This record gives sequence, C-alpha cells and structure tokens, in this order.
Amino acid sequence: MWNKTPLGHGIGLRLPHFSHILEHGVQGVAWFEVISENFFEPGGRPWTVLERVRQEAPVVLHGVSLGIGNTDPLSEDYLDALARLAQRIEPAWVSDHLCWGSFGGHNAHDLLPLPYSEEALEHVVARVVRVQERLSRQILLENVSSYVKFGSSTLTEWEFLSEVARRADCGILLDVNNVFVSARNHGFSANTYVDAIPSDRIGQIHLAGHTDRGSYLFDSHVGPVPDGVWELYRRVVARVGPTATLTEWDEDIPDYATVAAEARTAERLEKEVLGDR
Amino acid sequence: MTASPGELLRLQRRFFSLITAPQGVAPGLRVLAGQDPGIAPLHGWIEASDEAEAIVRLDVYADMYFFRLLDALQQDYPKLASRVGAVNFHNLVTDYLLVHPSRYASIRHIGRHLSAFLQGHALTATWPGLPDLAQLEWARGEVFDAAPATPLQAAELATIPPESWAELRLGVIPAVRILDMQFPEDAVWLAIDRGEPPPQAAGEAAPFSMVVFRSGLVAYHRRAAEGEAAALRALRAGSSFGELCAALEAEHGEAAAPIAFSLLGRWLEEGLLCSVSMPAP
Repeated sequence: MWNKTPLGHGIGLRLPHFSHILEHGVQGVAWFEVISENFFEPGGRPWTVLERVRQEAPVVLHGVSLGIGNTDPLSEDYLDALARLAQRIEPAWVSDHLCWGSFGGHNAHDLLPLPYSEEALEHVVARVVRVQERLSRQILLENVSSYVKFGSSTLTEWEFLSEVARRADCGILLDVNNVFVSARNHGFSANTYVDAIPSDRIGQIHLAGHTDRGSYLFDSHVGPVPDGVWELYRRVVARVGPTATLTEWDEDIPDYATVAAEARTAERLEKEVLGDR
Repeated sequence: MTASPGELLRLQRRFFSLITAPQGVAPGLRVLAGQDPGIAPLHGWIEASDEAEAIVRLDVYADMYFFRLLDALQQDYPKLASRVGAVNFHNLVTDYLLVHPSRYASIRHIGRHLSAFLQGHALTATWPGLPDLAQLEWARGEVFDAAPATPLQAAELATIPPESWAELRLGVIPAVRILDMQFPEDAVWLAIDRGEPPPQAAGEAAPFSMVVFRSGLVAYHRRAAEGEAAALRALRAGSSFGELCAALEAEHGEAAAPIAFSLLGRWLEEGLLCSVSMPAP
C-alpha cells in the first residue's frame, strides 16, 4: 500500500531552466522532480536553484544509480549520500528504477533490464527492504523501457513489478511512456500491462516522448508527449484516479514555458477523464 | 545482505561485458565466446527472432553506454574537446574508458582521471599542454559545486589586535583549487572561450601556478601571484599567519610582509577566505 499524495502535475528540474527559475521562480508548476545524484555535491548554482525551488514547491528525489537489481552489493556510500540529501531537502518521496546498472564495481550509467525470474524477484525484494530500512521511508520504483528481454524470464514485466511492490511493500512510479515503448519493442499489450498494475501502489506517473527507429522505439525523452502515450495515460488515470504526474523532457530541452505547458496538458486530460471525481 | 544470485550474476556479467566491449557487440561476442562458450549465440539467452536482431537490440545499450559517457566528458572538458577535435576526442574517450571505467554512482565524476591519463597519451605528443588544460577544466568543475561558505569580511580582521596576528588561523573556502601548470593552457582556454584560434602548442615547459575558485555562483581562474600557491596550501594545511609570513620571508626576504598583506587583501576581495580563529588564551 502506498499513501498517495496527489501533488498535481510537475516537471523535471533541468539545467537549461536554472536561470529562468532564479529570475522568475517556479511560475505555476505544481512540483519538481530532481535527479538525486545531481545534488550529491554540496553547493554551487545547482543547490541555489534547488533551494529556491524547494521554498516555492514540493520536490521529489528521483535516482538513477541505486542499482536495486545489481548483483554488486548495495553501496553504503550511495545510501548515505541519498539519506543526507533527503534529510536536507525533505522530499515528498524518493524514487529510483527497477533495473540494474553496474557490474564488478563499474557503472554503465544506464537503466539495464532485469530478467523477470523468481531468482531476480527475491534478490530485488530483499534489497528494496534494505533500502527502505536505511532511508526510513518507502520508496517508489519505476518501470524502465527496454530493448531486450531474456529467455530466463518466467514472469511478465507487469507481474514482476507488481510482485516486487507487494512483497517489498514499496510504491510504483508508473512510466506510461516506458510501457508504451516496451510494449512495441516486445510485442505485448500496453493496455494489459497498465490494467494489471495494482492501483493502490501507484504513487506517481511519468510521461515523456520517444523516437521511432523503425524496428524499435527508443526512449529518448525528446519532443512532446506522443498521442499514443496520452491515450495510455487517459486509461491509467481513469483507473487510478488523481495521481502526481511528471512530464519529462531531457533532450533538446525547450524553454521552461514549453515544458510547463506539457504538464498543464496532462492536468487538463486528467480533469477531462475524471470530471469531479 | 543477500548473496549474489547465480543465474542473475551470469546474465549481468555477459550483458555488461558485451555492451562495454570496445569493438562493439558482434566483435566483442566473438572474443568473449572464447572465455564463456555459453554467451553465444545471443538468442540462446536473449529473446529475438534471430542472432542479428539480438545484436541490434544489444547494440542499443552498447551505443548508450559509450555515447552517454562521451557526452558527459564533453560537458566536463569542452575546451579540451575543441582543442583536439571531435575525432581525436572520441578516440581519447574510447582509450580512457578502457583504463578508467566509471566507478562512481554519479556520472559527475567520470572525468576525474583524465588529466593524469593524458600524461601518457599519444595526443599529448602533439599538444603537450593537454594535461594542464584538462586539470584546469576539471578544477573549474570541482569549484562549481563545492560546498558553500560565507566569505570572511575585512571588518572581522580589523578587530584583531596586532599582537595576535602571528597566531591567526585563516580558513580557505572549499571552492578553491591550486594548480601546478607546465604550459600556458590558460591562454588556450581563453582563446577557445572567446571563439578565437588557440595559440600554437608551446614547445617548452614553463611552470607556473593557478588559482581556481568560485565567487558567488561563478567559477574563475587566474595565475597565482608570487608566493600565493604555497601560501594557500599552507593555510589549507593549518599554518598560522605567522608561519605563513616566516615561509614567505625565507623565500622573499624583506618583501615577505608586503607580499603577505597584498595576498590577504586579494583573498578578502575575491572571497577566498571563510574563517578566522585564534588559539584559546
């Protein structure tokens, strides 16, 4: 069970918008997601911006290097840094990805896919429990987009994600674009996926753009949210109700107003779907 | 902590070896199959219609691995990348990652060893100052997000009686780096920053020191004044103002006191000091 906090519709805090935020403030954006590792260093302009944002809006921490599915040991240094950051920023919540990213102490700085096996499930669940104990809070785990799947998988991705959340008692950050991308890449139904995720575990939604590379979709986070992703978002919202939603735009990042407008589009769609619910 | 699971461990070893293989996935697979026969064919463990499709899909990750790190290093070293050109920089990154793969949770640290790595790299035969240019760019990045500190004000020092000055301990802000340079790469940095052609590579080393620091939210660098590099290092190491003056005197004789107070004035003006303390009476 995840105690849902419907923060509304936010955007990611990104470097090209720092000057705008320092000059104009957050200007109607309901909340911000920041990449945790970008704030592991203690000072300078990034922190000045983050503290300004935090005065004006809720912030959530979104990590990319926890490596919950790594076979490398959990990094105590990483957990210490994350705990210090959470203590300083007091985020609404902390999230990372259901993936792995390092091997033999070397980091790929990528979100690599796991096999959906019972062995991987037990491994991940034990680590989520450990992380939640260390941080003294539940975390959200996000489904990643993927380009390969493994013969050793015995569960579907949505079964694996749901089961991790249930057994470890964590929340789910449902990335609708990632479901859309992976559904095309692996030939499963995106609708089946989102319908199977337990509503009471979904604490946050991600939306983003992707790139069609012919034989597969690439999760590029470039451009506006495509129509197919909006459609899937409508379906999710109809099922789960008002949910904190973040619009990501990480390549060829346009001006602040354009990214904020995407968040307002998401807000309008949520209202259309839910009415007065 | 749970033990590393066997199947998962094997899968991750294979996957990671392939996406980081310097030759690419297909040639890497041929090499790795000699050590681990189970790794080939890929579609024996990766679901795909055939081997070609499995390679294409794994190549997505291999490309992301390299190009994400290339991009990060380009952001850390924009002047260096400009100095050597795109092809040389690409090849430099390929060489660098083989020796220094990321051991860091944050990609922010990936370029930490580049200056030292360049000391022995072929590109440095063409541009001897590359290690210096790299250390200058890295230091600017380090001071950019170093811990904040409130700069010491001249008025705080004005209240200290003259007889106590010898015992003063002055704190240097965290956002200061002192560099020992061999070549005038500050001129290269400036030319590239202005969009001008950089000067020809210097043939002979001519050592000097630089001070890199953050003031407000902006990183700056300049050549160190006479005696300044040693003085800042001494303060960092905990020397008193009196010890600092004695060291300057040994080096500069009667000019020591004017040098010491000139440095102090400059540090206060630039906000390089953050604290003053005296031993308890």
